[in-house]
Amino acid sequence: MTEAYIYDAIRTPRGKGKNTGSLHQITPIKLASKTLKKLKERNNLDTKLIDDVVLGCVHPVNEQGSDIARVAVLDADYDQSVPGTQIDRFCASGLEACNIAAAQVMSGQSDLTIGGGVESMSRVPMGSAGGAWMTDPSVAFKTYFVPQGISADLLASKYNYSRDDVDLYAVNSQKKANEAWEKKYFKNSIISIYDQNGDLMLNHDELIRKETTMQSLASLEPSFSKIGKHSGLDEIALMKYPENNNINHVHHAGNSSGIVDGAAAVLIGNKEIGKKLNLKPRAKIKAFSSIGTEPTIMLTGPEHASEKVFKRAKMNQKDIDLFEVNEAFAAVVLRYLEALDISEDKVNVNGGSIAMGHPLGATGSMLLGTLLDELERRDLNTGLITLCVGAGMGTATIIERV
Amino acid sequence: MVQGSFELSNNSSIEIKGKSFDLNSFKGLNDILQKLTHENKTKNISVIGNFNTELQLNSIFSKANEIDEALSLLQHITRTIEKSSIKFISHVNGVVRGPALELVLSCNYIKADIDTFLDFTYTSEGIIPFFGSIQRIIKMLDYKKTLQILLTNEKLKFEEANSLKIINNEISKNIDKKKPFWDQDFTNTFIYFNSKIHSTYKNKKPAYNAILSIIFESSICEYNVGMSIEKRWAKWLILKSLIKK
Ligand SMILES: CC(C)(COP(=O)(O)OP(=O)(O)OC[C@H]1O[C@@H](n2cnc3c(N)ncnc32)[C@H](O)[C@@H]1OP(=O)(O)O)[C@@H](O)C(=O)NCCC(=O)NCCS
Repeated sequence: MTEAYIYDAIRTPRGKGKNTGSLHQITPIKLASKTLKKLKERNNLDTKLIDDVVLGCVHPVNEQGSDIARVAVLDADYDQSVPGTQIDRFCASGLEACNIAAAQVMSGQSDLTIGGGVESMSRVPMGSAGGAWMTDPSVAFKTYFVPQGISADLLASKYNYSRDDVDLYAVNSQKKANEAWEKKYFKNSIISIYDQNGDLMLNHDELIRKETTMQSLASLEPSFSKIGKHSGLDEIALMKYPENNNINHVHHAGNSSGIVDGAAAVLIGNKEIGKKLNLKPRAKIKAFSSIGTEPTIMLTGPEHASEKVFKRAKMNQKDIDLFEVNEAFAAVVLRYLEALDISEDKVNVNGGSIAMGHPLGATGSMLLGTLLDELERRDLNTGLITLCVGAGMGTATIIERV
Repeated sequence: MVQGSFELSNNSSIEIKGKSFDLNSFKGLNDILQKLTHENKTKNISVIGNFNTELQLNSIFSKANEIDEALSLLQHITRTIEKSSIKFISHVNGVVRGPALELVLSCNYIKADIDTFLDFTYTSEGIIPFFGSIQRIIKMLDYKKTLQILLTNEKLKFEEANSLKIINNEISKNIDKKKPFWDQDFTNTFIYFNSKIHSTYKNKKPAYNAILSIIFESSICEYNVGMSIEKRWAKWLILKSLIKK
């Protein structure tokens, strides 16, 4: 098998996913094409050599529709011979895009590829892609569909994570993200976003609230309690998990991943193309896996995907120096730490989506870049990225510095 | 229970007689409608009589292999009324329910007295409208209100029916021209109603599932395709209850 190397990884800052957000006026196609352009410039790429661009996007409708990857390639002035494909594995789309891009290289069918993702949640809101899973009664009933916020609260209830547990996790995420920004740990990957006049739109993750404390979080109302009770969703979750007496609604705006806009891109290729283009490989993609898990609790995928990828790589958690576990909700990470018995100081060391936001289709590739930067900064070797995924899935990737 | 029938008087009115209707009653009504539309002499037909009616389910849907035919006949009747160049005007009062309600809904105009009560009790009795009325209600109102009315077995009083313009209002002949409706609100509406029904009835009341599925599946379909979807779910529901017996 050919080795797939990571040559570069960049991302936009994450803008608040609201009409007051700094990236709201930038269309998703521009987020994606500005990122691709930057990747080309930074690496002095002859784009004719790129075999494929794979971008994750979870709501590929309206302005994010019609294969945004190919349109971004054209808008980024890449050579017209570069194809593009958009994929969707819900929240892990950005990572899956990198895995697919790497798989093309590993299988010998491509020399140079780009994996990445894009999501403008302020312009194409969550849920706008519809989908049978949540709407078709025949499917929703069979799978005991509940939205992920309810799943997160179910997860916390099942594993007894209290409001204090999840809040404490969130406070730390904010602290770590803020510190990482202050110490410029993200500087290698972040690209500033300018408008068509060259005016700066955003150069930092604007969701971070460094002033977050246990006290400030304590005043926030649970986000999913009303819909859980009012529309019967709690009851559906309990029908599936009757051993739980009730759903303890612990998640709120301060300990759930934030709604944001952003894009990311990762340059992946074999050894020869790196030599040809005079690029230095930073890491290789060692192994990756996706897995399906129970869909109602939905968010336990990371532990199972990790176990699967460990088997594939003939490794275990002890071989991993740093982990990026997407902070979809605080309970997701708490469960991961508990299930794999991992110490918190190896996980999300620079904060995560609770503090900085989770631009659904892009997050996976952002986490890959963040992890690689941090492995380099600390001069460590091996890292694992994993995300929980809608409808009960998980995706995990192991990277190894070279 | 008084056996139901339909009677044509002076080529100007159809009277609904009796309370409980079997397939033969509807075959009779179909003959009347064929005659009227074939002769094409009449401009207006009034529908009068007793509107508080019910279907003799056991007799209409007793055999699995005859369900399709029976459902087709029921839909054919309302489609004939709806599409005919004759203007059908129903004159209703008191409780309007069961098959009479479905016939009334297919008329071009429902002239209603102040004591009128449109009783949409179907699902709680384990049934759904069998004459294709769901597509009609969606067209008259919208899919959300239709879900609400049918899933909560609403009884619309005169004032509400009036304000919703179901009664005392011309129903457009363009009823067939239905726009698709899948948007963010549609998704949220279905998440809400699916979960309400799932958690409340725990899959033990198939009529509710059928209503949800009909409205969901017909959402992007043309009117006549919607009718066909209604028929398939009606058959599913009837087969389910036949198997139970
Ligand atoms: C949880 C959720 C519903 C909250 O939505 P929201 O109420 O619109 O959240 P906001 O970010 O606007 O925050 C609302 C308020 O909470 C308060 N707040 C949020 N974070 C806070 C913090 N860290 N400290 C103190 N207050 C905070 C603020 O008052 C904020 O209002 P402001 O922005 O006007 O100051 C939403 O973020 C969500 O759905 N997240 C999960 C997304 C998801 O499911 N992704 C897929 C994962 S599987």
